[in-house]
Amino acid sequence: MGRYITQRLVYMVITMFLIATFTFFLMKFLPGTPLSSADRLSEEQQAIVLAKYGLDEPIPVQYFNYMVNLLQGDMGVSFQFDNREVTTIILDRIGPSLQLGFQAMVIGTILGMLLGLVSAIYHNGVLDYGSTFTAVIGQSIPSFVFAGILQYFVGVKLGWFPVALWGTWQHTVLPTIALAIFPLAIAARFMRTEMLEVMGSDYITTARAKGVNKFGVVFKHGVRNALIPLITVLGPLAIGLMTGTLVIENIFAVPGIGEQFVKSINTNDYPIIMGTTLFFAIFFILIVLIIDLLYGVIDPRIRLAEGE
Amino acid sequence: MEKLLDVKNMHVSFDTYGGEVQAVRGVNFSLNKGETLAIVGESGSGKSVTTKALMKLIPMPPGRIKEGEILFEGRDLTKLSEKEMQKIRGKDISMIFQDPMTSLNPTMKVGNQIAEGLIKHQKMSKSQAKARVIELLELVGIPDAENRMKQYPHQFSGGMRQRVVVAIALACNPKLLIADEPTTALDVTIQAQILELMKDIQKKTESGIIFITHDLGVVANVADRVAVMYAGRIVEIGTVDDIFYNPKHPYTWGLLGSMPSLDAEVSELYAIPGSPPDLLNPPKGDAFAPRNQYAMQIDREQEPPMFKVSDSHYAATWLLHEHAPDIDPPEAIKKRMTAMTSAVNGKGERV
Amino acid sequence: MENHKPNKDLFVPVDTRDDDSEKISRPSLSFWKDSFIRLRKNTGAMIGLVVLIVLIAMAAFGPSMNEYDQFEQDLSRAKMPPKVEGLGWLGMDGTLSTVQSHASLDQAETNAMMRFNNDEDYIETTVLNDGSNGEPAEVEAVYDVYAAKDMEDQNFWFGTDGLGRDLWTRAWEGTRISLYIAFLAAAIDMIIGVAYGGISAYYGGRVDNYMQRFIEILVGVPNLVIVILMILILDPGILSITIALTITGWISMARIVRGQILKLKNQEFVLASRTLGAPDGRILRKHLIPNVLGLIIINTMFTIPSAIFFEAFLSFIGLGLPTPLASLGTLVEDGFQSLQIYPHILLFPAVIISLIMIAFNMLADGLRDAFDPKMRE
Repeated sequence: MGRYITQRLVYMVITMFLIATFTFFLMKFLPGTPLSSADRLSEEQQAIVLAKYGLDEPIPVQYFNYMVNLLQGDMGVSFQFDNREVTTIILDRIGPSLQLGFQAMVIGTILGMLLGLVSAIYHNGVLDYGSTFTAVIGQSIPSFVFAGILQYFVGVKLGWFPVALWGTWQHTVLPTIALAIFPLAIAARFMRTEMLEVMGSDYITTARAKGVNKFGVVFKHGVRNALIPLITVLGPLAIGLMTGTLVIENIFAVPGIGEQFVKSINTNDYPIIMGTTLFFAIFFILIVLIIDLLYGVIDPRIRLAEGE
Repeated sequence: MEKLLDVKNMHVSFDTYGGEVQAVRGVNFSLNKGETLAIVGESGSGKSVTTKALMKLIPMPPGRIKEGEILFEGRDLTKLSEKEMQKIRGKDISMIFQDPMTSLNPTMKVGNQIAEGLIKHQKMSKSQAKARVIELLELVGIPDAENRMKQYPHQFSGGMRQRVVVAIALACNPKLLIADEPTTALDVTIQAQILELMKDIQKKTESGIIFITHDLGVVANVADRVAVMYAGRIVEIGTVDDIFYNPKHPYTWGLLGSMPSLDAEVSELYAIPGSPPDLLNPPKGDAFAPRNQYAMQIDREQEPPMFKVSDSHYAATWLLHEHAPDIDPPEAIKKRMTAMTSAVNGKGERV
Repeated sequence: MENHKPNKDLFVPVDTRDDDSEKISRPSLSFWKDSFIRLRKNTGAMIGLVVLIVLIAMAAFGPSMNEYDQFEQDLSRAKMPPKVEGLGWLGMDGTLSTVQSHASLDQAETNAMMRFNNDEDYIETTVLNDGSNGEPAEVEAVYDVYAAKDMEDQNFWFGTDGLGRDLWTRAWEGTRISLYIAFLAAAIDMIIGVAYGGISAYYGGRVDNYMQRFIEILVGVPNLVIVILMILILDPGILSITIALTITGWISMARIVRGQILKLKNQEFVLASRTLGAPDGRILRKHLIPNVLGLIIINTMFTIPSAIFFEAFLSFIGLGLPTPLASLGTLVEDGFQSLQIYPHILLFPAVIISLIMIAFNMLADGLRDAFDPKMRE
C-alpha cells in the first residue's frame, strides 16, 4: 500500500509540474498583456507596468520566478483588480463553490443510489421503468438547460426560491438541484446495474438459503457489494460537478470560483485564469487520489492484497 | 423409517420471452431421515431446479411451482409464505452450493457469514454464536478457527471455502441438507475430503441428504438411493444396487455406459447420441425416444408411466410393459455392468 | 399402473434416424445480424434513432424552409414571440401575455397595460380576479406583437432574438454546427484512440509501457482545463473547438481498445487460430477487429453527446463560437439574457439540445445492450 501511494504521489507531482509549465508557456503565447486594457499609457508608464508584473525579464527567468512563487502558494496578481493576489481571490470565492458542490454531490449521489436501488428491487416493474427513464433524462439534459427550467418555473413563475444571488440557504436550493441532477442520474444508473448483478450472484442465493429475510439480503449482502464499484464513478462525478459549477454559478450569479473564472476569461485576466486552472487541476488530482485510496479502504480484497 | 420429505408431482416452469419453459415436469420422490438420495442426470435435466424449488429459491418470477406438493415433515412447503419459508431455510433445510468461489459474500468476514444463521434461527448472542462458529469451523476441518473466522473469503483456497460453505449449511443442524454438486468445482483429492466430511456429519446429525451430481463415481460412494432425471422427470429411481446392477431404463444404461472405469478390459466408452430436448416445447411421448435406440412406436405417442421393478425400484420406460419385446442392454453396456459388479464386489460389501 | 392398456401394436421398434426433433429450427445468425435484431427490439433505442433522424433532417433542411437568413438583423422586429399559423392553441400565436396583481383592480390593470407600453389598440385585458374576495386583484394582458408591429403577414415560427434574427433558421443552423462539431470530434477521437490503443496493445512490451505511462500522465490532467487552455490559444472557431475537444477525448477510446485487444490476444480462439498458422493479418481481420468493433461503435456513440454538451458548455463560459455564428450552445446562452420576459429565446434551442442528448444516450444504451447485454461502462 505504501509503495502504491508513493507511486501515485510521484505521478501527481509530475502531472502538476507539467500542467504548471504548460499553463505558463501557453500564457506567453496568448495575445494581450495587462496593457491591452490600459492602452493610453506612455512608453515609460508601460515599462513601469511591465516591470511591476515582472514581464520585462527574459522568459526563462519569468518561468523560474513563476515556479518558485507557485511553490509558495503565490499565483501572481490580478490584472483587473489592482494588486489583488490571485490566491486571495480564489480563497475568497472558494466557499460558495465548495458548498454548492458538496450539497449537490451528497444529495445527488444519495438520492441516485436510492433511485437505483428501488429500480433494482422492483426490476422490470413500473417503478423500475420510471426511475430508469428519469435517470436517462437526468443524464442527458445539460445542467444549464435544467437550470433555466428551474429558474423560470420555480423561481420566476412560482416564486418559491430566489432566482439568483447568494446569501441565505434558500439561495442555494435551485443551483444545488440543477447541479445534483447529473450525479443523481449517473449514480442511479450505476447502482441499478450493480445491484442487479449482485442480486443475481451466488452469494445472494447462499444468504437466502440461510433464511435471511429480504431486507437483510438487500441491505446487508446486496448494497454493500454494489457500493464498492460505485466509488469508481465518484471521481468522474466530482469532476463533472466542477464543470457544472462554472456554468451554474454564472446562471445563478453565485459568487464562487466558477463565476470569477468565466468573468476572467471574458476580461482576459490571465493570472486569474492560470491560477484557477491550476487550482482546478490540483483539486481534480486530489479527488482522484482520495477516491483511489477510499476504494482500497472499503474493498477488503484490495485492502488486504495490497497490505500483504 | 420416518419420512422426512415427500415430493408429489412437482412441476416447475419458467416464463421466458420465448414462452413457458417446463424445467421440471412432474417429479415424485421421498426421503427418509438419515438417508442420502442422489439425483443424477445431464446438465439441464432439471436436477438443480428441483432442489432449488424445494427451498423455494428459484427466482419467482419468472419461475413458479406450477403444481404438486412438497411435504416436509408433513407440511406442504408450496403453501407457505415467503416469511414462513425464511424460518425453514437454513434451520430445517439448508443447501451447499456448487461453486465455492462465488457462493460466499466477498465483503463479509467468514465468521459472520456462518454466524448469521445462528443468530437468526437460534437467537444466539454474539459470543454464543462465536463459540459455535469456532466449533463448526473445527468440525469441517479448518485449523486455527479463531483467526480464520476473522478473514474474508478471498483469503481461503477453493477447498477451504467449500468447507466454509458446508459449515454455513450445517450451522443450525438442519434436518435436510441439499448438496448441489458440492464437489464439481474442486480438485479430486479435495472432493474426497468434502465427501468424507459430509458422511461423517450425517452420521452425527442423522440428517437426510439430497445429493445432486453428474458424477456416478460419487453416487456409488455416498448415496443410499439414486434418482435418474431426464428432461425434467425422474426416469428411474431405486437403491444404489438397483441402479448400478440392475438398471432398466435405456437412459440409465447410457449414463452407466458413459462412465469411465479403471478396468483395463473395458476401454470403450459409450456416448448417448444427440442432446436433451428443448423444454420450451417438450416432445410428445417419451422425451428420451429420439435418442433411444430401442424406441418403439408407443414412445412417440404416450409418455411412459412409472413401472414397478421391485419395492424400491421404479423406472419409466415402455420396455417394462408386458407387451414390450424382451430387450437386453447392448453388449458393451452389459459388459461394463458385469465389470462394474466385479469391481465393486472386489472392494467388498458396501451399504 | 395397471390402468395403462395401450395397444399391443404400438410395441414395435422404430428407426430413430428419420426423427427430426434433433434439427435446429432457428436460423443461425451472425453476430451483427443478431445484435441488429436485438437493437430493433429495444423500444428506447428505436425512439432515439427516429428522433435523431428527424433532428438531422431538420438540421439539413430546416434553415431553407422559410425565407429568413440566419444573419439577417432587423431591430424593428427584435424579440418577436413565436407564431405558427394553426398552432395558436399551443401558445405559438405571436402574442405576449402577462399577469399583474395589485391591491386595487385599477392599478393592476394599469400595470398590465404599462408592461406593453400602453399600446392600447393591441392589448386585450381580462380580469382574472377583481379583488373582491380579499386577495389582490389580478389582470391578464395579452399583447398581439405582430399586429402592433404591423407584421401580420410574417411568421417567425420560433420567434426572433434580440437582434431580430429568425430563431427557426438560427436554431437549425446551430443544430447543424453542433452536430458537425460532435461528429467530427467523435470521428477524430475514434481514429486516434483506436490507433493508439491498437498499437500499444499489438506491439506490447516496452512500446506499450511507454505509451501507457504517457496516458497515465494525460488522464491526470482534467480535460476541462486542457480544453479551456486550448481554446484560449487557438482563436475560437469550429475547428479549434473540435481540436480542443479531441485533445483529451481519445484517451478513453485508446484505453478501451487496448484493454480489449490485450484480453482477446490471449484468448483460446485467437491462440487456436495462431496455432493453425493463421497470418497476423487474418487474426487481426477475422478475430480482433470484429470483437473490438462493437465496443468502438458504442464508445463513439457516447462520445457524441458529450461533445455536444462540451461545445454548449464552452459557449456558455464565453469560449464558444464567435458571433454571429450560431450553435446550440450560443443560442442557449443568448436565451438566458432575457429568460424572464422572453423565455421563447431559450426554449427552442434548449429543447433541441436536450432532445439530441436524450436520443443519443438512448440509442447508445440500446447499442450497448444489443452488442453485449453483460457489458457495462
